[in-house]
Amino acid sequence: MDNYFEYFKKALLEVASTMTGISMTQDLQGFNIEEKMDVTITSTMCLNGDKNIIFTIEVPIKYAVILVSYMIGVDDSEVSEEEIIDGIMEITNMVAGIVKQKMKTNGVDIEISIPTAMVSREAKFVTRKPTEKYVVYLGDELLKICLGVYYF
Amino acid sequence: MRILTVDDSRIVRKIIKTAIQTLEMEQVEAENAVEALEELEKFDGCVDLILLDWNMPGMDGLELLKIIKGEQRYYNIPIMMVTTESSSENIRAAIKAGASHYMIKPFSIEELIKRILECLGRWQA
Repeated sequence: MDNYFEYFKKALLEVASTMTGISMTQDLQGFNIEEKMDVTITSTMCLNGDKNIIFTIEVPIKYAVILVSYMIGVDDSEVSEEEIIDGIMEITNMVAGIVKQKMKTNGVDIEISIPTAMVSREAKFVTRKPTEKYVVYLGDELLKICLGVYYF
Repeated sequence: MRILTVDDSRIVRKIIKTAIQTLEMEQVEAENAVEALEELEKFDGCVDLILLDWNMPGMDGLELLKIIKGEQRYYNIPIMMVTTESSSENIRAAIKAGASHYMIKPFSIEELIKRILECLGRWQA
C-alpha cells in the first residue's frame, strides 16, 4: 500500500491548528469503526494523477460547529449550517493543497478536485481498496475529526 | 480603504472580513470572477486591494488576475493571491501576471492582517 497517510495526518493537524488556534493532541488514536457518530459532515476530495486517492474528513456536527466558530472567531450559536458545511469543506481543500505540494516535492504529480460534502447520520464510506482511517482529537474539548484515505 | 475579496468559500470570505474589520477597513466580496468584475465596475475601480483565490468554479483566479491587469483603470490595484496553490511554478505565474503578493492557505488571522498591511504599504515591524 502506498503510504501517503502521514502526509494527510500532518496536513490536517497543520490546517486545523492554524485556522482555529486550538492546540492539537499529537497522539492520534485508531478509528473505531463501530463507534456511533452523530449527524456528521463528510467532506471528500479526489487526488488524481501519478497516484489516485480519495480522502474524507468526517466531523460530527456538534464538533464542526465549534471548529468553524473558532475559524471565524464568533460564538458557536452564530454559525449557520451553510457556514459549518463550507468550513469543513475548506479544511478539506487546504489539506489537499498541502498534500498536493508535498507529493509534488517527492516527484508525484497530482491534480485535486473541488471538495464535496454530505450531511448524514451514521453514513459509511465503503471502497474495495485498502483504507486507512484515524481520528484526530483536538484540544481540551476533545473535538473529533475523522480522516480517511482510500487508494484506488 | 476598500478591499475586494474574491473567494468561492463563504467561510474564507468571512475570516478575511474579520481581519478587514479589525483594520477598520471596508470589505466588498465576490464569490467568483464575474461577480468580482461587477464589483470593480460598481466602484469604478476605487478598490485599494484585491485578495484573490486561485481555484474557483468558472474562471480561475489567474485568469481573472490577467483580465484585471489588462484593464488600464484597474492596473494599479495591488492584488494578493490567497490560495492553497503553493508550487513555485504557480507563484511565478501569478507574479508574472501582475500579483504583488502571494499568501498560501492555511493562515492565521494575525498573519493575514500583517500581509494586508504589507500590501497597503502600512506594515511596521
